[in-house]
Amino acid sequence: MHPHGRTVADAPVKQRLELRPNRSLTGRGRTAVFLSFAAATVVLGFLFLATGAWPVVLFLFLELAGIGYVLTRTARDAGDCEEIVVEDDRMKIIQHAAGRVSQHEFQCYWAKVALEPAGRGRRSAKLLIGSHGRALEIGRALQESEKYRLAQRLGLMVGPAHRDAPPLRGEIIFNSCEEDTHGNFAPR
Amino acid sequence: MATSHHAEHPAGLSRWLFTTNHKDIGTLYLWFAFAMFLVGGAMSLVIRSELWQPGLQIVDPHFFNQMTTVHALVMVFGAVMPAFTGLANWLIPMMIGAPDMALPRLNNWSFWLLPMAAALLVTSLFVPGGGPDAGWTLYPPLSVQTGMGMDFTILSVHLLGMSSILGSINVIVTILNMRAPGMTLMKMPMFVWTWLVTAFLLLAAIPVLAGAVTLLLTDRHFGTHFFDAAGGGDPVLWQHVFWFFGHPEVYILVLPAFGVISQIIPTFARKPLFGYTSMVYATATIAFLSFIVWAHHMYTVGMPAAGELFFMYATMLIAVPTGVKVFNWVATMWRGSMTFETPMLYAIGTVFTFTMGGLTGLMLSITPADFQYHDSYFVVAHFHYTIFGGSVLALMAATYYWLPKWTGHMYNETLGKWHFWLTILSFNLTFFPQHFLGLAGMPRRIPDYALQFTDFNQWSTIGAFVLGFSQLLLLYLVVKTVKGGERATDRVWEGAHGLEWTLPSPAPYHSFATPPKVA
Ligand SMILES: [Cu+2]
Repeated sequence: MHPHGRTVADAPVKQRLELRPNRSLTGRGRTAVFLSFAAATVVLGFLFLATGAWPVVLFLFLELAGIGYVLTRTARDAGDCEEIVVEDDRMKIIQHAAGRVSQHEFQCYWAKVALEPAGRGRRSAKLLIGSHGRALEIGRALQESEKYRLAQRLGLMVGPAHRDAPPLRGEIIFNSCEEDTHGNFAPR
Repeated sequence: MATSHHAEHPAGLSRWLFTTNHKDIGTLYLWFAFAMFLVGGAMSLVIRSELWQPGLQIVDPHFFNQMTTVHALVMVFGAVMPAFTGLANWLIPMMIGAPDMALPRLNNWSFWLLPMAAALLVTSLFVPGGGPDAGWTLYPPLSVQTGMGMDFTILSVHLLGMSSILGSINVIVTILNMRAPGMTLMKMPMFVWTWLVTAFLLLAAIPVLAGAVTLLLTDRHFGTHFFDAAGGGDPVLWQHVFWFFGHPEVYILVLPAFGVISQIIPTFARKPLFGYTSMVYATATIAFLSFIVWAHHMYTVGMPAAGELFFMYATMLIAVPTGVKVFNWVATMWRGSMTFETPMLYAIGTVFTFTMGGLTGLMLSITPADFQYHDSYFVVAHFHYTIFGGSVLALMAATYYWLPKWTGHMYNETLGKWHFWLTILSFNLTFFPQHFLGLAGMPRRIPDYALQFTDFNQWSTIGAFVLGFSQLLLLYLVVKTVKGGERATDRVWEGAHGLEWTLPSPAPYHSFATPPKVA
């Protein structure tokens, strides 16, 4: 028996929320950056090899490897996002992180949203969602105050009161800004 | 809702030790740089005290040499470079609408390598044989023969280089990958552009320095003879490798300063920057040219005439893009509705003094003339006009310009103006006479000199002490502004444009924590 006296079948609402950090570097951009560094490394490498100062070449290639590693990481993390899908009475959280996909499901009625404030030395607060002894951190890429706002919204979607929550659709775009008519930028 | 939670960010020592927040790290860099500025400044006062009169009075020549060497290394690697990295950390994310730097944990490492490197460098002064005494250019054979202080220095340079490389990779990835939608490359503020180019310069130049000092180390301890003619090596090889790093290094020190000036002058002229596109191209051109002019530091080693001509013309060519920049700054002020608050005074002061340093640079670029100027006080005057008159004055301008944004308080304008006039006048009193000393034949890096140089040296010493102690006024002013004062508005300056001015003052712990936009 549902606590509100309604059954799951009463409200087949589907709600979807997407958390996606903005990334301005495209795949082609990454390749271009790497190739330009590689070209510079090869040119400088030959130059220093020719002068006899060959250990310089080692440092040049060490650095190129570092740049390559960082760009690979950037490519891997480019698709990072989190989807929060509420269908019927279930909340599904799909996390795309570092090329891996993980999926978690919670019963809206039993789920709880918790916000652990920033502790000593930690980057920012932790937003957790969980039920039955399981807890999952979400919105890791969000800003602190965005986490508070998201916690509020999610709080409305879970627990006994979730049926009265306003429907949420679409996508969250954060830290975005736009140009005004004077060519100045301002946050949206 | 948002502001009430900002109090909950981590506090205490662990906040600073483990912080990955770009503003915390920016603050760390800036305070570290200021501390090093005072340390390096104290060393310069030792130098100037000894040079108050001819003869040897205060320190012995060996220690004098350590002072000239460590003063330069501390100022270049400990003060100016970290100060600009501090500005980059604070400002780039705010200017491009990013929440933080792209690689926050790497950012923490980049900073904490610096105090270790500085500790090594300063400790070297106390080891047997003393600190490095070969001049900041570390020319062999001197740098190969000297005591173990040099080994400390080599290790320190490695750490400093690693810090710079990590910082540069972070800046590049942040600028390329973290820009807000709509912030295209050609819409970025000039400060961001100049830092992007500087980061590329660093990535090309620092491995060369790292390789060079490694060669020095193996020559010192592992039986190689890279720089030893007796073993088939060549001491001039060091000069080529070092200056291949060393000349781009001066643009590493000054390009971000150009960026700062390009942000400040439009604000106080209340006009958009004149010739933005040409500024971007001029920056890139200067960066490219900086890699093909290195041998202008070594005209006297006996290069073939064709080489000397090439390096002479290539060096003179740099005056073109630099001239474009100076023209654009002046054109921005032209018929602007100008006011002269402290940041603007410093910005205009920078344009004047840097142009002066640029002109003496042009004199030095002329090969036959350089045979006369080489290794004289004229060179000392020249590069202090570019590095103090260009980079340090621009850093002061930046401090006054963004301090209200950082602290949320206005600084005391009267004190700021006092600091400016004391600094600019004593700077010129210190370094202008050094041109004459050099032209009259006084060599650099000597603790003693001929009698006829006394007057100009005494002017210079008086100037140096006023300049040094005036900086305590800046320390007082900054501490006072951090602690309190008139509240700053978000925009702070009437003519200020750009994303950082849309954020509250002080800028919140996390930038651009805008409400999630639900489409
Ligand atoms: Cu040069």
